[in-house]
Amino acid sequence: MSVMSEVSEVSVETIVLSGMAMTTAGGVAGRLGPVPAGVGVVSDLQTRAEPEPAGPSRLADRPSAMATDALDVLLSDVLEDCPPERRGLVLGSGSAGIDQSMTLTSTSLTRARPYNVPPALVPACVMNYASALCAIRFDLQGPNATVTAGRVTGLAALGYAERLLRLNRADLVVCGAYEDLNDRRTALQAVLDADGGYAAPGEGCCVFLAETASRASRHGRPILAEIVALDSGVAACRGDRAVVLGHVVGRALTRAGAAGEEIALVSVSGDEQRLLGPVLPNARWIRPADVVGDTLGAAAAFQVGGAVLAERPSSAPTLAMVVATDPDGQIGCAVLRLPAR
Amino acid sequence: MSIEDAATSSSHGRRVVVTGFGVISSVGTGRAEFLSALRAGRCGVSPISRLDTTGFPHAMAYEVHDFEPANHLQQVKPEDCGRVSAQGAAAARMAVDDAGLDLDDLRAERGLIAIGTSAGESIDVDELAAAEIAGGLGGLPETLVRRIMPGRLSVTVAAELGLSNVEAVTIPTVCAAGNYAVGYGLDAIRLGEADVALCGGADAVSRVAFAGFYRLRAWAPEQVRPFDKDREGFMFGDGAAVLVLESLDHARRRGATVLAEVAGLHLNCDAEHPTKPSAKRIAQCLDGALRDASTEPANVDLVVAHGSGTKINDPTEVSAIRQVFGEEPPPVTAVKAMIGHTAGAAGAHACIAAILGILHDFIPPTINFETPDPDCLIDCVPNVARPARLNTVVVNSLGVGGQNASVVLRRLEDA
Repeated sequence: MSVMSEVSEVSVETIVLSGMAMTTAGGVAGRLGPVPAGVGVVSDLQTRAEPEPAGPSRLADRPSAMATDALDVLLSDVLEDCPPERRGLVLGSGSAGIDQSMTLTSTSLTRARPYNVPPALVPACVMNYASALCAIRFDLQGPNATVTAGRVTGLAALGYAERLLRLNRADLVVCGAYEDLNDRRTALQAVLDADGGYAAPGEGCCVFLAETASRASRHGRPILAEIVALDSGVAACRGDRAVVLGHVVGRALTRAGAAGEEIALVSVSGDEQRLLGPVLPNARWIRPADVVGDTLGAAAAFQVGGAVLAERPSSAPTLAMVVATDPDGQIGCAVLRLPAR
Repeated sequence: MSIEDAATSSSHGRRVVVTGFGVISSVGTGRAEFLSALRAGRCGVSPISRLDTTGFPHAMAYEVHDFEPANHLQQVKPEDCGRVSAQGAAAARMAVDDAGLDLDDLRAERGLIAIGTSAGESIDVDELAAAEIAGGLGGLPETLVRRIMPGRLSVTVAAELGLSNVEAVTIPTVCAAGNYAVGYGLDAIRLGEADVALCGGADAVSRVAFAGFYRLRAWAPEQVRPFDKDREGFMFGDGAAVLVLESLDHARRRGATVLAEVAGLHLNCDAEHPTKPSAKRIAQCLDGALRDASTEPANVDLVVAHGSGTKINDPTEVSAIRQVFGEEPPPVTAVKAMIGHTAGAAGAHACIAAILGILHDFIPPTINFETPDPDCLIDCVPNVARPARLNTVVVNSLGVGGQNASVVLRRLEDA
């Protein structure tokens, strides 16, 4: 048998979300929802810190605890049917690591011996820490990627997951995003979002199970949403935002083969309805950030989750759109097909 | 399927090639300087100049001393972005020039930017921490706050090149991020979702990295010495590296010079321990990348190792290499001895070193090598560059956290 026969092939299969879990200040929810309403701080996280000067390896800080708690719900009954090396993870955040890094630098600057920093904090200063801890906890040995794209991060994670599945790099991909609330993030966002029209800062984690439609059905999992199209763009200056947003949404509709009039539900991150209202005239508009707070890097993941759980005009299959924008310039759009209810 | 289709695509999608790159490192900036440093085996280590290192018994790193954003950036104002974003955008501009890409053509097509990093704008994070100590969180300088989010690394590339119809992601998969970024572009082009992708990484020497890894006893005191019995760790290096990836079709259509093919990729995760690498999983990653490239271990002419120079990394990686390649593995080199650990850019720097080796028939050496380690039984091409015809090279990288990424680069014979 030739080597070629082992090579994976490009899949044109439909990629779907077949599982979902979220942690917010309002509590924890699985695929049946509802979105746990609550803006502020998530309580009861399973954080764990070793006192200094213990080993550098096992700090479970708030952001990673938020992620592992959500994966706990998501993966409660799906791992047995998937070998560890075929389990992928794409996890994102907007700012994870900045708070920890500032703590570490401050400690270095203020202690007599500048290298006398808490060793357990070192690996938590980088954004892939939660991805690493989730992999260890759930034995996810497949591709393990971390992405960040401001408030568009959740859609970037979805797109990354879709590609990993299309190229047969994994059978299941856990994808989503998390963000924790801390004093430093609040201070940073007070400056960054002064003119952004975003909700009050919140925190949480929202994750999905992505796989092919046929695999989901083989394993008896319900299809929560089908990924129909994804598009993105960059508005390098604020003045370009409306134009680039229009282009991104237009391309997403073209990829989806849909007209703006067919979109029945739109889930936004900020004030996008003001710009897109005329293009999507028949849609019901939701802003999950009004329920869970503005979760920065987790915002788009919660927008997808919000769309999945939202009340719909009819029980028929529905085309929904998720639109996320960030003051740093990222713009993203997803078209999802929500199955009949 | 037509003959042309067969030549430019395969069962796993379209063929992908590298047509240019931009590089910033402690041993040189730009293709010519970097090539001559790799050939000469130059070492970019020097006393840390950026930070006040009072109180640290040793303080060396691989800094880039002559990088002036204003000399490279044409669109982005240097004060609007941090040093790391500036390096990334400068390397991307160099890469586009090196590939002979017309910017108007680039803007007219769907594009992709994937920039890997470990610590993002770490120098600005340090500054913010100092400002917080001085004046509390209410007194953080707005200029610094506005450039702090790591997602800006890829956005700054888009801004510098005037790209708006572009997918721009930052991939903070730390020390494996450069290879993850290259892989991200590879997969998007294979699937036909982009024709051109700018992929690489950027990082810098900062207090947060220095103090942190110093505390973990991973920061070497004098120099980085991969595979040496007396190796004492790594040091961060400033730098950025960005490669232009294109579909082979696209490169041929515009008459571009193909430097190498990106033939294979594998990504996996140890899922065992956040800081101790797993030889078994690294071996699976190398093996997977070779299968993805439809090749086998016997065809590999060189492994560009992660080779960080820590006590634990090097024997673990060598063990993985021996699991895959057997008792007589191909030569293995580690460029971190020359340029330091460029963290999120390291994989991309290593890919560029591999491509220069393929183009110019040589193996960049593992410098600073004195004493063989019985636990690292490989031919590490010690100290002096070696003439060699390289057809297939594997570039390996490991991220703290257990994320592994291997990339297979291949000479394109019919280019």
